[in-house]
Amino acid sequence: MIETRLSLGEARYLLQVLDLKLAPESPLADPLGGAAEVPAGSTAEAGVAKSLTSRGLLLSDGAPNPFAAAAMVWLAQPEKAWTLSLFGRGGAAMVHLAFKGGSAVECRRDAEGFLLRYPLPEAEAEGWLRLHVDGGRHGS
Amino acid sequence: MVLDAAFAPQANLGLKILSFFTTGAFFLITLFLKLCYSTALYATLAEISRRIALFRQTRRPALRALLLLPAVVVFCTAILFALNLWRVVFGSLDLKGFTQAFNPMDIIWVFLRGGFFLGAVALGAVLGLMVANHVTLGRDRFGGVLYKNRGRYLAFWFAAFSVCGLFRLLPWGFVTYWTVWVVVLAACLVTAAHWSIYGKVRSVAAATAPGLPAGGEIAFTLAAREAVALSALLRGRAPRDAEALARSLADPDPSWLAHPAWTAELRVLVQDPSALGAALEGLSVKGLAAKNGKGWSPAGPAARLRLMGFAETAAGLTVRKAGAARTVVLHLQGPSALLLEPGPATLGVREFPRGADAVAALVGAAEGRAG
Amino acid sequence: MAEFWKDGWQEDAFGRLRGFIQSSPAWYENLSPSDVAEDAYLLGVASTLFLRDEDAGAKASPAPSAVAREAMKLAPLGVPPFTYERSLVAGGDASASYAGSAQGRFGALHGEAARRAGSQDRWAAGLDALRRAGALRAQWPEEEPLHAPPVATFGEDMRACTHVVLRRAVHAFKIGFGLWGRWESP
Repeated sequence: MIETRLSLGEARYLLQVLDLKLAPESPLADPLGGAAEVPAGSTAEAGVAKSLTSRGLLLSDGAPNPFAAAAMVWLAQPEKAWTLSLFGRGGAAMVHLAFKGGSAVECRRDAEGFLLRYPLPEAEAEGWLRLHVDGGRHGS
Repeated sequence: MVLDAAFAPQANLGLKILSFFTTGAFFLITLFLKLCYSTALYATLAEISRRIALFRQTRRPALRALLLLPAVVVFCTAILFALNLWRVVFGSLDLKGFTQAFNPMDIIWVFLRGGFFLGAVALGAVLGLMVANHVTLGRDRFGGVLYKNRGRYLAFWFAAFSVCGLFRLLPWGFVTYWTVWVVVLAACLVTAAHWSIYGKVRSVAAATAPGLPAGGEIAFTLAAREAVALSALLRGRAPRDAEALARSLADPDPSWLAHPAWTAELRVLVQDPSALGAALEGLSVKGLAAKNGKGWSPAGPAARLRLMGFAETAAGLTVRKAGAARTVVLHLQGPSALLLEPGPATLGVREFPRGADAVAALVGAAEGRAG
Repeated sequence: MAEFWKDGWQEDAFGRLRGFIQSSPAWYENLSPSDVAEDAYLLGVASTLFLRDEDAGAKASPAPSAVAREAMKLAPLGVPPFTYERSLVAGGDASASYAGSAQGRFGALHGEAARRAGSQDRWAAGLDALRRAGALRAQWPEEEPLHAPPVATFGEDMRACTHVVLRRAVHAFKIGFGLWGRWESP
């Protein structure tokens, strides 16, 4: 299983490099839908590319890591998306799951950007939900 | 005892020079400490107020924030008290006084002052417990613990601390004594109050939810107006007449509006008593509200909802597929589970029997599967 | 975050939500306003519709606080192991995982990744980059639920408070010596 962090700018840049348009179901549509593109050849692009490379999301030749690319496809153009909002004693949390072709990518928004975890088989989605809602106490 | 010798009348020149440098060094160290701590203490207070503002904006404060405040208060007060310790206990009695014959009256004064400060400690503790007794404590809508008050006792401590700090800088010793007394009183008050509130909040936070009380099964669908009227009905315990319910609805609390489209319905209910009456009648037809001489009150399944009071966890699942979205909300409280389906025109509420798989039902309902 | 802000319905939703948040003791952790605007507005409010108490002081009956922590503990998800997890160790076998993924044996996402990689070398390079960055995990991580963190013990709370106070005491000396911000940021 793969767990990576992605800032808003990095996510925007990956979408741009992969030439992906955001579907209305996408969990990225809300935070990134109106974001300006990272200008090509700018220092901003160099900075984003450097941090993506250090996180293993760009390969040494500057092309996107195929695993990260697949996850971005899932997030940008899912067949179906779940948004789980949780409220409790400690406050609130929100997690998204983007489904496509029987696999899913978990996407969590936080102060820095996104936390991605993938892949999760669609058959496990209910168990995933159960863990988040009540720590698996309500049986299966 | 070099110091004693230094203050003796027959001390020689060498000892006089030594005592000059010793007292000079003490003076500088004390001055340094005063500078350090007066700056640090106000920086701490500024930090606390910044964090409170941050908590208000972003997240719920941790339970230990209740303990942190008196810890800082006690720390600040202890520093200030330590800097004044000699004066407030021994008064005008200085080192030289100890080298000469004791005046019995001085000794009596020392004990009187000490006892007076113990009185401040005891009075502060009692007042603090009384303040904590008046701090109301409840659960918020998401099962969290809510603690509300105006914090006047904190303002009292802060004012006492500031005034004391100010007089500490000025050379009027007798004023310093009284202000330090008030600061000790205020610090003990804050400590006792927060200690007590922390214990109360903790016992609520650690309590296990009992779940829904026994009674008629909860399974109904309401129109938007009926749902808004029922939310007003469930806000209080005593029966209320239609005017009181309308006033309650007029109190601007957007959290009543389970769906953005219901805002218009709320306005209609506030402005038009007949619409509110119709909504209440609709509820009573469904057996959810009852009218007696004193006014309207929840009945049947709604009365059970009223007794449930709060949820430990609320989980909302929104499924977006092919341009459509559907949100379903699951409430968990102890062994009980409730499923709510808010829509632009209706609200469905359904209870699960104990032991049923509520999470599977949540997924099923949000995915639009039957059953 | 301002550059990602959209005009229109979101702005309006935020305006409506702001009143709700300010009047509400629910503090939204790590969520941007646009995150909570649509779903949480709907959800948060729906979830509270019947759970309001104007007569404060409604307290749950104190029950045995020995909540079984074991029962609360997250169990790892039963995600079947993927072949590439052998590559968690440097020099692991990437050829089998590439071949299996390309044939669609390990799910659609791995199939897409294999298609995008195009060759076994690039697949191995991708895995290697993720491994060096520490992004590969052998199993789904366990974590405390954000919305319902465990209640800290009294001792933990006291220790945390004492640490804060002691740090402040040290800061006071730093101020005196003019070292504020030079040793560590406050």
